Amino acid sequence: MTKDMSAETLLSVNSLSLEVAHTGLEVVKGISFDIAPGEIFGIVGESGSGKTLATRALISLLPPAIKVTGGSVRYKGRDVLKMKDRELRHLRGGEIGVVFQEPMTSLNPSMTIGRQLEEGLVLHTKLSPQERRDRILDMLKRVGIREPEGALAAYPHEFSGGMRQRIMLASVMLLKPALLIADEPTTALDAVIQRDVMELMVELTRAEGTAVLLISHDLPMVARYTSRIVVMEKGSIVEQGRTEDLLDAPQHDYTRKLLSSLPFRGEARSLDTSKAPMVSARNIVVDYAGRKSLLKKAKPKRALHGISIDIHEGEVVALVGGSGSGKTTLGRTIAGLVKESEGDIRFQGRSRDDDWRDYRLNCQMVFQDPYSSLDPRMTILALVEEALRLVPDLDAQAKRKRALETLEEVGLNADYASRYPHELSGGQRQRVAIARAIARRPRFLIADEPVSALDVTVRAQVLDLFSDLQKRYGFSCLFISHDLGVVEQVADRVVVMQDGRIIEEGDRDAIFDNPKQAYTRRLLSAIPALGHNERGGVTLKWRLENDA
Amino acid sequence: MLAEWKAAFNRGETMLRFILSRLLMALPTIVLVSITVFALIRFIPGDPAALMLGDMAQPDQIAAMRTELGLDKSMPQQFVIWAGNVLHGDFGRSIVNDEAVLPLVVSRFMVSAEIVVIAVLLASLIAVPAGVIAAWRQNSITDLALVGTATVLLSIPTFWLGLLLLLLFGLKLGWLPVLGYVSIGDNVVGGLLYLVLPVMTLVIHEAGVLIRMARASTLEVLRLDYITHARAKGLSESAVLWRHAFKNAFGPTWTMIGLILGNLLGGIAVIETVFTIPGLGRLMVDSIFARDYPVIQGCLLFVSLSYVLVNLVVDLLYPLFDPRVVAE
Amino acid sequence: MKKFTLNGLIGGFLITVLITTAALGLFWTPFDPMKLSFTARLAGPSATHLLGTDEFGRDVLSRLMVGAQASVWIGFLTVSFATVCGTLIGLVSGYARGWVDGVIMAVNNALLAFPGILLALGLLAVFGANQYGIIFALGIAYTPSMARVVRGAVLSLREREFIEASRVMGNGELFTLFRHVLPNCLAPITVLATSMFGWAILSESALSFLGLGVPPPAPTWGNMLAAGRPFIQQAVWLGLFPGICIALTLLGINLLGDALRDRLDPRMRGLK
Repeated sequence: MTKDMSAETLLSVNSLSLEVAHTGLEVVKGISFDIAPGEIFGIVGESGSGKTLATRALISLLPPAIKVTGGSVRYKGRDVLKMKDRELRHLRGGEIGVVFQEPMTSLNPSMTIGRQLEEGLVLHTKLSPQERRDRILDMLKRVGIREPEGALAAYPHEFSGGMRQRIMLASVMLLKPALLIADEPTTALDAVIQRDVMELMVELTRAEGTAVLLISHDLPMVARYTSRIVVMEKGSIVEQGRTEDLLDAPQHDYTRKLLSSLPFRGEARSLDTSKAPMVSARNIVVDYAGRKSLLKKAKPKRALHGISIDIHEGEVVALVGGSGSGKTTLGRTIAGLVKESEGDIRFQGRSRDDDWRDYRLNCQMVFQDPYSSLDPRMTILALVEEALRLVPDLDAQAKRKRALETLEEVGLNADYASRYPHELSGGQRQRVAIARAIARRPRFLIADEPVSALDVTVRAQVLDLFSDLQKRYGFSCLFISHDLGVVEQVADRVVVMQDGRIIEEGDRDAIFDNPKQAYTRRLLSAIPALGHNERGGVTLKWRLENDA
Repeated sequence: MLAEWKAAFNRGETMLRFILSRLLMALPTIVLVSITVFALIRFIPGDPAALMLGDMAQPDQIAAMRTELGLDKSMPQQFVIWAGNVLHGDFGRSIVNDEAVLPLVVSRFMVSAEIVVIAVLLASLIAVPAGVIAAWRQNSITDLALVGTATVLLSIPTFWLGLLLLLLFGLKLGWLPVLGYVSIGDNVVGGLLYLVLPVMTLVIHEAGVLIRMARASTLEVLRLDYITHARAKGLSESAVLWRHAFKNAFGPTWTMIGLILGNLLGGIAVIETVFTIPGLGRLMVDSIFARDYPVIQGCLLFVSLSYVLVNLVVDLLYPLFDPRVVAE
Repeated sequence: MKKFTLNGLIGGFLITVLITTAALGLFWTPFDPMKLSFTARLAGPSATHLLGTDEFGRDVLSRLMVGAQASVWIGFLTVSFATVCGTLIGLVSGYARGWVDGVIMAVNNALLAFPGILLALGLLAVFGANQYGIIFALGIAYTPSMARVVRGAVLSLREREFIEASRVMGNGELFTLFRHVLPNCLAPITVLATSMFGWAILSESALSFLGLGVPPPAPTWGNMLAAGRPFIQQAVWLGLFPGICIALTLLGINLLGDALRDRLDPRMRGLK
């Protein structure tokens, strides 16, 4: 109670502890922090750090299974956890607004946008219907909705994810709260849109003098906008301080680990590209049949407009672009999962279609989602062994030996062989997926967003593993990713796609240091250039700040 | 203002497209259902003409029937002849009493429909709020009691339940009539009295089904982000529950109500037997005993088509609870 | 979590009792279920006849035990028939897609457009009202539901990356279907088959009650209720005990089904 309760503190959290009611598992362990009015404050942590639950407690909106076991949350000096229902309802929305991660499910699908926005105003203000309408239209305009009048009568499903997140932001900021809690507000959005939404949020809150509590796993993004940061690990705050100090000279091991897990630029390799390419795709066109409907004519949608791409022996080519750019379709087409409408794909000089068996033996794929890419009813060993099923000249014993060796190589010892996928963590599963792909010693590997579902520190480990294996076996790789940071670390060459076309390609350093296309620059503006210092800290330099 | 008009117009157009596409989608089902009913009777061993006339038919009658059914022609042609007759309202004549099938089926159908519609309406009014409240209070005593009761209720076979109610209210207490049936059209009070027991039986059973359904779909909705968001806006629990959760959760329950309604229209033969009600189900069963194939065919066709129709109406009204289905 | 196991426990217990009783009835019943006794007509429950006798003086308990066999046997055969046929149809339909799927599903939906027991009634008119007629009629009537559920599971599995991974590994379509798709469909199949067992027992008793099922004198719970109906005022037990048997069996199956669904349905996982 010695805390200074002066006007400088808007929200004060004091040794807050939470646990799961039935199991007694402590998920948040005595955390404390203060937020000043108008400040942008960040909480950074990986999944399981307790950051989301901790912030739910700030407005006393915990899931029924979670109980507060100690501590206090004071908003303008009043203890939130002891508030009566009526007082709480006034606090929620009126004083503290919340924006959630998932814009696709955060708006009520059966209620018009107008009614959803109005609801809060009816509750928290005494405005007349006409005043409410004006205020809503004004706010919708400010968040960049083009036809605000039309939007009032529209339902959420008529808007894209980015637009919905803007509407969410509008619905919260309409009430001019003193504090905005933003829980991973841009994680579900496309890389290019992420930044727009963040900038909009900062602009709106600054104009209203609203403080922001920004919660994310993305340390550089949080660092970019906040003045102070808290780092959480396994329910505890391990470090907090001014953003610059924390980045420059981290005190705690975990913070250092987080910072060193951020992708950095690997050394440029010189590869022999004079020989014929390992994989060569020419003029690939893919049309998707339009959705069948009885009354609408099905218009085929062209996903790829005549793409040509070469991948040389031992080369890692990164395919980057936003969602809908066609990068995943191209990868799946080369893998033979999508049939091209036109074009020619050659492998080691021969047409892929001439010898599918050879191609299947030599071309493997790692998928994005380690939860969906492993058959849940098979053991780890069986999963890897299955990859060897069609390999000639290996007897059953040799196959088992190879499978176990490969698991060992990806860092999973024999203990894991008999386990099932659901008993493994996300990172371990992705290791299994990699083991399955390399067990055949393929010459060519397609990796579709292989690390984007993983936590920061796990991501770094899997990327290291990937690079090691690539060096050891020298396979060529098509590396598909929306995350340019990751690409910067592993790629030799970068191909940028937009709307089913290649708009720019070149050596990694050339693309990252000297991008020609505006779209590439926009993509790059979402990630910082990192420099490491001897204190275990980093310097963040945001690229091309002015171009984007 | 202009933008709102434009938006409204676009929405009207997609709505029209939705309605038309649902209507068109029902067409093949209707054709296939008719083919199935037609084929079913043709599968019965023996001469279809003789089947349609019964054991007492004379050879010349059978010959006439053979030409009428087009038995010398191919199967598809026979179907076309049959479907043509049906479209003209000619469902054939009963073997037992030579009545025209269609009016017979329709009059019996009205008897069943009266009971079923009232029962489903009452069951929904009781069960849906109960299910929503059970979900809202998940794992509380209220929830356990409601779900437990619902599970027990839906496990009791309707014909047995009807028998017990009859025994209690009709025979032991003597409050309600036991046998027979009076149409509401003829005698309002008397008709209502005869309706009480069969309706009560159905309500008790279907309420069990609907409570569980409404609870399950409300639970699904309650854990979605927009519910948390509504709470985070400062809405009261009752506003969250009825304004945000209820409408979204009602969709699956609404479909279920349609299915139950349709199912009961064809399936209350047992109830009609217990309470000796001259409904459609009883007609169907009696016709099977009497091998009155024209009536069996007529019942099958009429009930399955009304089932398709009920589900079509349910589908068309679905956008009221979930506007997303219109956009597909 | 506690509640789920309680469901499973009660359900499992009731079903075990049912199956044990049916099995026991094969070897031993207190009396000959068919033996008429005009001296003991409509006798109430007593030490000799625990559950009383019927209008022909036959022992109700013995007849209920034999009736349990009919329920279990008809339920088992019906569910097996519908599960095997429905699973094959659903697998083919969901995995082939295209026009094969279109045709199969159109026919399937047409069969599903017959409400409840009506299709079974129509089929009974074809097959004739007896034990095997019922099994075929109900089996055919339930097949479309199974086919639809399996097809739905196959369609959602197809979107999963491990099916694509299997194709990238070069596995044939049939291998993928039986190695990866079918095993992952077993959960919804089990859940539905459990409910179907309940539907079959209920429908069999309803049909027998209507006189369209297993013909007397062979005892089933349904035809015992029908036969006892005229006498329920004097002999309540004739209307009571067969109904209790049906209700308890259905309750057991419903509870077991709930427990299975909670355990197997991935959507319910993590909800605890």
